[in-house]
Amino acid sequence: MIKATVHVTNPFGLHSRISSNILKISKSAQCHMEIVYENRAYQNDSILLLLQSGIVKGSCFDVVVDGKGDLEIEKDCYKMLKNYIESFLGDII
Amino acid sequence: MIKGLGVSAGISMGKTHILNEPPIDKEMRANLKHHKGSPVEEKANLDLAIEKAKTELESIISMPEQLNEIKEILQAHQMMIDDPELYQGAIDEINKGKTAFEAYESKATQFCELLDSIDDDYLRQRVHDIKDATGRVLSNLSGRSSFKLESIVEPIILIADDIPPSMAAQLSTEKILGIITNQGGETSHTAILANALGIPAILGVHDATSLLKISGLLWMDKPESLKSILIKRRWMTTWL
Repeated sequence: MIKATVHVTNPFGLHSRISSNILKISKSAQCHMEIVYENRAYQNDSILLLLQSGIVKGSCFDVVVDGKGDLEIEKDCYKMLKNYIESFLGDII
Repeated sequence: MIKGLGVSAGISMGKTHILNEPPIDKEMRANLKHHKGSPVEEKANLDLAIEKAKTELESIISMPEQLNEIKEILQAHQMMIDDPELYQGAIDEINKGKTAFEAYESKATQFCELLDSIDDDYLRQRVHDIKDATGRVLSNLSGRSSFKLESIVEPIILIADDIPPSMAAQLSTEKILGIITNQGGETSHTAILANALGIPAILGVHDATSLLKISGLLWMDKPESLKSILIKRRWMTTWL
């Protein structure tokens, strides 16, 4: 399992497009992903629940990637997510 | 004089078309209830409506020269349409005896209300995305046909209450000479697309659809600043 904390710098926060792309990345990597924010975990299957998280600029949340035993898948998924998050959402701290 | 927020500069002259999408009314709803099938049948109706909506979105996504940003927005819509939480919630309601329309609408509304309670203006605006996406499924379930830009024969200035993202994605300079809406702002999809395509647009006119009731020629003048713009109805009386 890989866990990282994201500090959101995108002025529009975790909005539809970013949520959709993050979910797509984890699904394409066939990896389980969770976003944890304010003690609530959002799984990688519901964009509507993720949007309700209300993650805005300045927020910090955890992203947890679980390859369910497959370390290669886990690492690849994390790498893709990291690249995307750092390009479009915020900083991994 | 009519005032609004000029979000895309330019000069345009042409006939107007007021977009009036009738809501799904009581009669339509009663009709759906009257023809309610078994839960298995209603579930099948829902699945078909969702599949059709996803295909419709796919055809908009794959339009030539579609902006990447718009593709991503509509891909998000595709995800919303059969979101597991929304879908399973609707199925549960169908199993309790509701029609597919009632079930899907009630669940979609719940999600919109939850999003509406977020304390951030931009994220709250995403309610429009959910309404646009799920509205497509509801139209398919009700049999109501939505306005299609491809039905426009001659280029027009489009006047509407609001232009949903999936319709904004179909805007083209061949058919749309200008846009005037009651709602919307600088960060709306309409504003983004109008700018990208160079279509003059004035949003937030508040009363455009009722003030500009009769189609006529509208001259949308180039704004002096993008903060506010005046629409001159100089030639409307000549053409009535």
